[in-house]
Amino acid sequence: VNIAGAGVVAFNQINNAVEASIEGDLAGRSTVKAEDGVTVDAENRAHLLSQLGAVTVSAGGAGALSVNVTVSATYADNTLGGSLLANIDDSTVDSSGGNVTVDADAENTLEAYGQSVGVSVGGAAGVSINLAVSAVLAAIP
Amino acid sequence: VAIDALDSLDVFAAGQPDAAYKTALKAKIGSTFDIDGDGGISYLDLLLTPGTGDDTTVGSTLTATIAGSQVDTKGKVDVLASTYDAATTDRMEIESTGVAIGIAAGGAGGGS
Repeated sequence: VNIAGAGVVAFNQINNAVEASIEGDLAGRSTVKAEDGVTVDAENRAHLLSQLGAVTVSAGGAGALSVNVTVSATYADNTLGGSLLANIDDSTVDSSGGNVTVDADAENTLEAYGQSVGVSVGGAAGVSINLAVSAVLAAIP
Repeated sequence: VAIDALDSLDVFAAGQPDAAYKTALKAKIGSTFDIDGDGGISYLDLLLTPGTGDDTTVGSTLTATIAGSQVDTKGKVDVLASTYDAATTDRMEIESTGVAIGIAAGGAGGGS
């Protein structure tokens, strides 16, 4: 009886809080005067790459009975989260010669690859049983 | 430990291998992949460590703000917060790679 097992588990998480703002506070309102425009820009470009591989090989030979079993599995739990905020709050903005732009841009990417391979080989004069089990699991909560 | 199902080749019949066969096989090999004992083999059997020390987490707070202030300029006002640097193409990133390999081999005159 030959048994081979291999497994890979990965938990990856990116959480960013990105904020661009013009706002008032306890000191009072904000006043922004610009002759060529005002831009408030919040941008989040996170990238998550997960690559998992599991390989199992089981081989055997016997005169009467040969049992070969492989189990290989990969599991990936990947999370991209967080918050993104661009705002003008409790403020006075005066742009005489340009635009006022408030922009929040999220371009997050997640790449997950899983490969699971099982090879089971056996030979026997009487009985030969070969079993290969492979599983790939991926979760994006 | 005898595996009765193998003797009569019933293991290849519909509905096989049954519980008796699995039990006999586990007893014969002396171990099982069903680590958590839930009756199946899944990723849960791979969670050998209850802790999260091997997890990968990246988190940050990035703020660009004008707060409670007076700004007066003849030019342009930019308030920018970004996790991406266009000049260097650097960005917030996780690259995770894992490989596991298992090999079992054997041979014998009687049973292998």
